[in-house]
Order: sequence, then structure tokens, then C-alpha cells
Amino acid sequence: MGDTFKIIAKGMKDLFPDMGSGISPDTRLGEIPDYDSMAAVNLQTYLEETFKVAIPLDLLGEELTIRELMEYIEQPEKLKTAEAR
Amino acid sequence: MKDTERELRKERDPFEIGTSLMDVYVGWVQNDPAGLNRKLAELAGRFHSAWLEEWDRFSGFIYGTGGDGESGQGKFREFVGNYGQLARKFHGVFVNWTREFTAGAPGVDDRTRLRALFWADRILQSVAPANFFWTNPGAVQKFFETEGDSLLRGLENRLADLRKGEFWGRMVDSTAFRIGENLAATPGSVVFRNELMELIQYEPATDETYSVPIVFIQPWVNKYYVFDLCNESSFVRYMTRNGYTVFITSWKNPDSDMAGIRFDDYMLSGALKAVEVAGEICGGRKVHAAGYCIGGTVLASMMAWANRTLHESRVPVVDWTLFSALTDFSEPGELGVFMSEPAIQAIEGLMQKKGYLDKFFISSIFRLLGSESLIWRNSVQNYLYGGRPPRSDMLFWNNDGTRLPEAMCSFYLRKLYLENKLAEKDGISLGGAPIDLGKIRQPLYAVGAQQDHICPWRGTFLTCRLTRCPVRYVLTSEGHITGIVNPPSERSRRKYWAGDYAGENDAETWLSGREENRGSWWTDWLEWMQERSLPKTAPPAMGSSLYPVLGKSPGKYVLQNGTPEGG
Repeated sequence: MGDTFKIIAKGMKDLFPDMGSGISPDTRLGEIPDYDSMAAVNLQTYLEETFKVAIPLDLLGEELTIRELMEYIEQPEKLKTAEAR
Repeated sequence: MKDTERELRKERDPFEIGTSLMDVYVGWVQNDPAGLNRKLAELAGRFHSAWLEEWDRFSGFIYGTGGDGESGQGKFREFVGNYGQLARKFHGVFVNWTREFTAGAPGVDDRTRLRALFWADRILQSVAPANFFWTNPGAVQKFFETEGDSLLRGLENRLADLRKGEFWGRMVDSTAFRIGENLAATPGSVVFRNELMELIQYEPATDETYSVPIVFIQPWVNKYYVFDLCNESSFVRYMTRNGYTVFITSWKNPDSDMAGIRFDDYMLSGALKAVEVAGEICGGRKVHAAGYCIGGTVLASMMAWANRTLHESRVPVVDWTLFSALTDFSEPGELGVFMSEPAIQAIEGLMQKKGYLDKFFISSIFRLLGSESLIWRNSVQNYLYGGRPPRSDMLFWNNDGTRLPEAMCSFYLRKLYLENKLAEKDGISLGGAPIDLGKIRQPLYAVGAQQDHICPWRGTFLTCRLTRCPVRYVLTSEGHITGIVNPPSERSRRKYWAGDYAGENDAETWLSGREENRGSWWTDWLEWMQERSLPKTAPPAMGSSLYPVLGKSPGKYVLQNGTPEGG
């Protein structure tokens, strides 16, 4: 999980430089300055190209935390099962 | 400022960029000079506080105690990081102060204040520290990591973009998409074509289909295939899989010959013709008609026209749906910044020579509205980092703009945006009949999107009050595109609120009585339409003897200047 977090955090800093260094696993996507649907498209593309995992756009809502995003990337099925419950 | 002087300034500055900012300053000087001095002192104080907060980061470098054990390059990178942080802080202070300064300016009318806030925000976004090499630590780091190659690639990217006329920079890597292959690829046929549009009928995806088809009236500011993006997010594919026969309009990209095409033509030869053809192909049935953005505005006009001029039994629509569409333009959101007499005169001046509004102008306005996402993020990625733009079907579509015919565009801006005549009973005449939305009898399903900056949801809600038909209103999370192109999925974090309109006076009152639902509103729409869709029968043939198949979808019109490279 450590490497995944580092890669996500680096990508987010590149995509959204105004975030500065304040990114933690509990950061919600809604905390990204000016986060909107187009920002979500940018983030989706970065994650898909970096991790080679299909990321549904509707997953990347404002309430999603980096921790949940990491869980999805590392085990896409895990989140699906958790939400089905 | 004297009125004549202001008028002269507006002539030279039709979008009131400098004029509105100057009005804010003059408002302070003339009405509260002491308050202006207090504001300026407050700004100096905030800069001072910001500097003190960041002082510790710099003191080590200044007194030679920072970055112990690091190489020269490491120390330098740390210094750049701290410097970038300070620049961000100063920029943030100035942005917040400017917003307060503008919002609180005395003696300034609301429209001027909104314009000043909009332009001040856009100007300050353009000078954000992240947009410049030395104040973007990520750019400096990449420079060292690639031994300067990132900046060199960025320069090459910029030159390539300028050569292609991409002034604002490329938003998307378009090499990954081909219209008709991996976009706009749901199987179908063109079953009708006139000088304005092609009508596409999609092949059935189920053994039986509902006997009442759906006709999507698409906006003509972009291409129709926003409802037929890659497989997973294709709206038309979702509807065919759920048992519907689906038709969609694909508009011709106007050229100089179409300068005289009016809004009436889009209503009669476009929306009305589309529902008539679809109904005929489906055995003389009425249809579900659904219009998106300006396509919804023309559909609403057509519904009022049909209810005025035809007997109720001959109105060809059983129910109608508006996706992020305005009929009352009193709350136009940030687009209102561009809606003033001088601005519209300037736009009309741009159209006079060619007979259409160029797609560069239209796309520039949309990119300015969402400038952080649609201009500056790309600029940093492409030019400072030397990267390439993302591969995204939605961004590809977003970049595939069209032109607007002069007569229609001028009418739309003046009569609808500036004078708000569609909201008035008989305020305008279209197709030879006065238009009164209150005459519409068929049930309406209207969708607004929370983050929509093109058709703000509170503005879309106003349609509920203009019609007297049964209305189900739905508010979805997300923006103008992602709120509508919103496929259901188990993992969706999206939300929506739905409920019948019961005469609430304003959007907030309506919302306060609604429950939050998780997921996509598409399922709610299916449920709403179903009782008026039955029975299910064998699917209709593709085309009919009156409207034979003219060719495979996506047809010809979508390919006119179809790819962004096409110009």
C-alpha cells in the first residue's frame, strides 16, 4: 500500500499543484482545490495509465478518500463486495 | 464614472473585463475611500502574516543552517519547494482578498460585480504559481530528473500546438479515438437527412422492444455522440439494452451558406421532423422526446408550438424530458458574463463576415468557464512537465466543437439570454405561432446537475414553474456532461434527488423535501417512462418505405470537421 500511496500522491501533486504537500490517505478528493468533473477525468486518466486498472469515473466522487482509492486499485473486487453489503 | 465615458469604454471593451474591474475600484473610491484604505492595509497585513508563517522554511537558508547533509542540488530543490509554497500562499492571500474586495465594493450593481468577480478570478488563475516554471516545484524536479528534457519537450509541445492553431493548448490525445470505430459506434443507420440534420435509428438490442421509441434531440454546439461515447458510458446503448428503440439527431456543422438558418428551422426541420420520422418508422406511434442543453430548449419550444397549433391527439410526443436545459434564462450562471448588449454586438460583428460563429470562439468561452480544468491544468502538464494530454473519450468529444449559424445564434443570444422572452407567455413567435410553455400538457421529466456551470440547476428548475403539465424534477450530482452521461454502476459515488414538482416556489424548497439517493438517475427515468412505453412488441424495421435507410451510422454530418485536427 505504501508504494501505491506514494504514486497516487505524486500524481495528485503533479495534476493539482495547489494541493501542496498536504496529501494523506484520509484526504478526500473533494479537498482538491477546484475539484470538478473534468478534474475527475484528468485523475481517472492518470490512474488508468499508471496502474493499468480501469477506474470508473463515477467512483471518483468528492467523498472518496485516497485510502479507498488505494483499496480499489490494489483489489478492485474488494470495494465492489464491500459496497454490495 | 460618467455614463458617456462608461459607454465608450464598453465599446472598446465589449466583455467588460477592464470596465467591470475599474467600476469596482471606482465604487470604493467614490463611496468609501476610508474603507478602501482599510482594505489595502488589510492586504498588507495578510501578506505580512503569510511571510511570518513561512519564515521558518527560509531562515535556515538565509542563516546557512538549512538542508544539512544535502547536496547542492538537493538544497536548491528544497529552496524551490519552499519558494513555491510561499508563492502559493501569497497568491491564495491575494485571490481571497480580491474576491472580498470585489464582493464588498459599494455602489456597484450586481451584474457588474459578477463580471468583475469572473474576470478577476480568470486573471488570477492565469498567474497562479503552478503555471510558472520556477514556482512549480514539480516542474523543477522533472527538469532535474530528465536533465532538462521535460522542458524541451514542453517547448516542442507548445510550438506544435501553435502550428495546429491550438491557442489554448491541446486538451486530449486524440490519436486514441476514431468516430464510428470506438466512439459513436453503437450499430445503427441514418434513416433521414435534410439540410440541417441526420436522424440515426439504432439497432435493437433485445428480442422485444417497447412500442414507444425515444428520440434524443441533441445540442448543436458539439457533436451528438456525447450520448454514444465508449461502450460502458454510452447512453444510447444503455437505452437499447433496456428495450427501447432509440433515435438521435446528428446536426450539420453550419457553413456560410447556412447563415440565414433560424432557431425556428432547428425547431421545425430539426426537432419536429425528428419525432415525426421516428413515429412513422415505429408504426405511427407517438414518441418519448428528450432534449439536452440547447436541444432541450428547442424541444420545449416545439412542445409549446405543437400544443398551440395541433389538436392534442396529433401532438407527436407522449412525454418529454429536458437534460440540463434552460427555458427561463434569468439565472444563466457564469455564461451571463457574456450576455450584454455590447458583448452580443461584438459577437454579431464576429459572425457578420463568415455567416457563422466560429468554433474557436465557442470553445474559448467554454474553456474560460472551466479554465482551471480546461486550460491551466493542460498547460502545466503539456508545457511545464513535457507530458502529453490525457486519452479520454469525454475530452475528445469536448474538443470536437461545431459552429453556429449567424441568424440562429443572434436570436438565441438576444431573445433568450438577453431578453428572456421564452419565459414570457407569447414572448416570442416561432414557426408562425406565439410560444407559451404554459400550454404544454404532456408530462415532463427535467434533470439539473449540481455543478453545472453552463445551465445552472436552479435555472433548469425554473421550467417547472413555467409549464402546467405534471413535472418530475431530478437533481443529480456532477456537472453539465458527467451529470447527464451518468451510467449506473455498483461503485458509483454519485447522488441524485428526485420528486414530483408540487408548486414549490424555489429550487431550495423543492430540494429540502427530497431524499438523497446513491447512484444514477437513469434508472429513475426508465421507471418514469415505462408505463407510457408499453406494450412490448417485435422491434420495428430499420427505416421504412417512406424513410428508407440512407447509410450506416454515424453518418456524414458528424464527420464534417469531425476530428479536432480537421479544423
